[in-house]
Amino acid sequence: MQRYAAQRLLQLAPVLVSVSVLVFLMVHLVPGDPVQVMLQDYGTPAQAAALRHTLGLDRPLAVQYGVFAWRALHGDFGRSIRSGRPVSGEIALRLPYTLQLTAASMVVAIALGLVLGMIAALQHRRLPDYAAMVAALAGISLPSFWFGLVLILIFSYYLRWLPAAGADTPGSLILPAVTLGTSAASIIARLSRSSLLEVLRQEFIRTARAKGMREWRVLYRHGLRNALIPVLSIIGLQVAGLLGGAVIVETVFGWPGLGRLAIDAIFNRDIPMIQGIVLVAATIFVAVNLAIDLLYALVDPRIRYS
Amino acid sequence: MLSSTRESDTVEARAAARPARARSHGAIGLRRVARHRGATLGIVLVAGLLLLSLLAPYVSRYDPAEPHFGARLEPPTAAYPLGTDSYGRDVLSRVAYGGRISLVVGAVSVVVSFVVGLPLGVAAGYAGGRIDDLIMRIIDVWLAFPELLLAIGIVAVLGPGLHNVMLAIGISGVPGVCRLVRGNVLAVKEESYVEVACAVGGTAMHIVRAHVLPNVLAPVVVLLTLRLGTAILAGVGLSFLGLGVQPPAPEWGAMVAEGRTYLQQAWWVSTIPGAAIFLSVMGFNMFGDGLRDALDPRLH
Amino acid sequence: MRAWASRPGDREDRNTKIARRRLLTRAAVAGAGAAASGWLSGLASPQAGAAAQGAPRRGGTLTLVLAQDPPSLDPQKTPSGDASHFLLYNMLVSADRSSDAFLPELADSWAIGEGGKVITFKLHPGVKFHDGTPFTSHAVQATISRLVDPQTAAPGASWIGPIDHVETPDDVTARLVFKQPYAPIFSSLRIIFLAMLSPAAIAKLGPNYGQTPVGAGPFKFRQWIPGDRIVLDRYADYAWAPRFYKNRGAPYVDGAVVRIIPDESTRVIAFERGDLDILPQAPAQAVSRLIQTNKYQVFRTPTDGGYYLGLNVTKPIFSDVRVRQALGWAINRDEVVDYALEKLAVPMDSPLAPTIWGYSKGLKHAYHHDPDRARRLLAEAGWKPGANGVVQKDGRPLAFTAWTFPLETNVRIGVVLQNQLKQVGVQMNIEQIETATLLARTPSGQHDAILISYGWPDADILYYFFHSSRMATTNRVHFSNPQVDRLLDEGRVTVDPAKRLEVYRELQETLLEQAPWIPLASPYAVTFAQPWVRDLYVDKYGDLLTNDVYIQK
Repeated sequence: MQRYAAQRLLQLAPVLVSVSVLVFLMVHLVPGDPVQVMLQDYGTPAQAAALRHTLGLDRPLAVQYGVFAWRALHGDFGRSIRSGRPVSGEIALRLPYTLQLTAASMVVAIALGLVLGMIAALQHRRLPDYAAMVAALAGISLPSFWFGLVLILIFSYYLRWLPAAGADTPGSLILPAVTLGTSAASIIARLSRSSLLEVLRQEFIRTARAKGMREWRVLYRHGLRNALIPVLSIIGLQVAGLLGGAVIVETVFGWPGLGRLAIDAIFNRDIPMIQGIVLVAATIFVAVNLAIDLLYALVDPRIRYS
Repeated sequence: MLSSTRESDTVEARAAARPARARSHGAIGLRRVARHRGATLGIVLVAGLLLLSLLAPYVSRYDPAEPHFGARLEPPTAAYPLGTDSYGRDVLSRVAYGGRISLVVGAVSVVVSFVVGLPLGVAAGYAGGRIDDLIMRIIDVWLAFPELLLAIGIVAVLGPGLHNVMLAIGISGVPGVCRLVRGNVLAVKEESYVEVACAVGGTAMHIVRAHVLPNVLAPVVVLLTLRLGTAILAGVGLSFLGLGVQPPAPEWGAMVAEGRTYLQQAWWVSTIPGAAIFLSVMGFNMFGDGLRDALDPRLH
Repeated sequence: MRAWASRPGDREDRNTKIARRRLLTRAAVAGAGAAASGWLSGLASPQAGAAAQGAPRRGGTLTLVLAQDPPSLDPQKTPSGDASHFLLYNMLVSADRSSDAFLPELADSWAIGEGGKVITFKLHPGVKFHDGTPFTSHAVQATISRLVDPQTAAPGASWIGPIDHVETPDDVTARLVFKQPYAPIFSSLRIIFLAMLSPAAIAKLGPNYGQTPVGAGPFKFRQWIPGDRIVLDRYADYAWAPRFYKNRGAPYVDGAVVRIIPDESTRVIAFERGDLDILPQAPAQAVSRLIQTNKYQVFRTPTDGGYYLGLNVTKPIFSDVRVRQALGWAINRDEVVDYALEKLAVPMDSPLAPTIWGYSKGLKHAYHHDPDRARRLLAEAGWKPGANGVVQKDGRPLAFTAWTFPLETNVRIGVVLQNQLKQVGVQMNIEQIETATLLARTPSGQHDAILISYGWPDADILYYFFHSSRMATTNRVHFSNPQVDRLLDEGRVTVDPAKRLEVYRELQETLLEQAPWIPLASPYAVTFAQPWVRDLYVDKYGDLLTNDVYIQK
């Protein structure tokens, strides 16, 4: 187990290096010049040259990459071109919001997903099964910006229960979390349904049933734990995906997370910021996946690593 | 390595990931699909929308792109069965013609994912060793790169528009396909008949074509179907950000985005294309689920 | 707080439409009920909002909104100003809220000498920055030196013109010395780039000025949560508000909060919920609905700019002036106003919007909708009817792509134009493109046309758009014309306003005749305010004047 973990950790290094090269190439390949964006073309050539020099953009690409990589190793992604503040600081400011939103939407997703999945599995091929699965499918079939706006209209505009935008009260977390969590819930529902069905068919469950245990109890005692294993990996993926993928929901709800920071950075050609965010997102992605894999081994006795 | 337990890393892929052991998935599979209620409903939904798009010129009485400023935001009436948008364009016509764009975006980008992902997955799974390692590391990097950022980056480099959007969505779908295919190839490779084929000296090409591919096909088809819905939604998201199909083309996502500022006055402008998106994605998902159930012997 | 000029030049950042990165004030049509009836008539004269009922009340918070974080709260490091800047800072002069005059702000008076090359300011005594540093002529000197230093890389540096140096004969006298006269200087002096900075803070903070900004404005900085809000506190020592305010001292409210809400629909809903006190730049699609609720004060004013279709004159199809003119006649500006801008705009008959200083009425080369004339011009230029109703010449159809920003209004205008041009056999495609890409690609002339907007209160803005020396930067239509160059140069150095107006009249005629731009429409800015926001005022450019504001719930 330890050897496996160490081996996996070692494999992360080349992945992250490649990601850093890729993002570096991408930001230099995309048309658009951060100096131009900053000065909006109204600057003088002297200003542009000075800015280019300050930003180190007048150096050869290889040197720029070297500087970027060396600093990044030390957790320093340079300063944002747009705001002039350290990129790591800006990311640190946004990360808690992203984590909050991710955590909250996962709670929604798991709660909703497991309930739907369990109903569906217990009532296999009966009306509740179909209803639950249709509901689950509906969740992933809605465009999130549309769903988010409808939620705002209902809960924030007509009912006035929750704020429409912002991140200042606990209530403001609910709607974006529900919007994001719904599509993840659909996936969890479908997955937990099929793994529960599979588990319920197994010998030990039949035994438990034969002993006269109530269906819910059977499910709770024996089914759930086993069914949760595949769900675990989905959660990992979702968590990682949310870090880069919540852009639209963050925009609709005015949530100050990393996704919006990333989009703004792309539109402003804020090179250090884009690089920093992509690297942080990639690191979290691989770390979460590693953690999930290791967790897998802990909860599922059938998996052994050599 | 853990790869055999984690064949695939995309969400849909996981849903589709179980290697199909059914040998004769031809006729039996199809019959099962036909009997599967969800799959049937899915096909009906998709076919309905497809038909609407194909018959767009007959369904609609109006040019989907031409504004009629005299008839802005008309509610649904006999003249405009689904109302008009803020330019006075018939929503029914736009939804019908829009299907040609949105469904094609979904289909083509999925094809892109498979054209790239399938050979990569087969190569990795079948060749194993160094090649496998190399391909899987590339896929790791690909996955670690935030998907939407990748798509936006691609569109930013190539410019907005239908072709680049399909390319961007297609490319971001490659890792999922690759992983799924690889996992299934690994499983099939262990089967005795493949070992036999190897032993009697079949060429790699022949073995892959004759034995590996047919057996990987089932989960691939399932993933393909599920992926269609995701791709349509991705196209919709890019339209929301202004990077998608350019106006006045009636793309569903663009229609929803454009109409949503009128939601309180004229619900139909964005709700109807929204429903079209919803139904098509749902249709593909139901069909994909049904297909998987039908092809997975363990569920029978 | 005060009016301050909009961002200079093109309005092309992504949020242009959303917040234009500034706080808008606009003349209020008093009271909610009054607003609904006949609010479309009698524009232009700025009006006050809900009138005071008894004495102003102290306390409360004023909540404003922006679409995007300002890049920096350092006024020299931002390509445009917005609400958060003008609450923090003061300039030397301010524009009168209803006339073309400039009024004292941090400067009490000024004298222009040496044919416009020297301007001597007498500064308001007793002004203190938020950090306690007194405001003196050295602050003026330090501010301007920092602005023009290339190391600062201030996007607004060029707006100070050909400044040579600043003299400080004594603490309350600052003398700006120019290399040559610069007629538009007062328009520049009132914009955010010329906000006065504390010399002590400049020395202490250097490039980090924007992180803990120090100004002499009515509010001082407390906190900035990026992506969420900027929080400001009342500056109790403030006592130098411009004289059009009833309240020349510190604001009545205890603080101001500037919320950041990127999505337009969400912003409107947040306002309707009462989470925001003021909704500037209301999206056109929501305006009529908000008015019909009869709940809010409505302020509608013109703006100092507008939308235009810029034609790349180096492209073969647009090198013939007749084709460019044909587009001018083919376009129905009333339709643009009615259908793309929801009647919240005026048609533009000049490259300058009517509110811009230098605009001339009754230009003889002005275009109006005359599709037959457009067809005749195209025929004269050799374009014959072709396939799909698109005219063609030498087998090539008259088709072009207009680049625009992914903003709803831009796209709507594009769709309307597309339809109108089709009527005369011209095919226009739309491509939505981000600011950075547009900036990168227009210098090399890859574009056919651009459909964007601009804003600036002085006609000198045309220098940036049409002077041949600006080729490949802000002259995005690649236009070069010796007569236009001469007039633009003349307009800069002609200090006598009457003569300067004549120069710009001739310039506008030439530009209309040459038609590198097809002017379209100048939008109104529509601001909504909650009924409890008292004594809000919106000036003729749509900027918010908030120093009289108090909250009475």
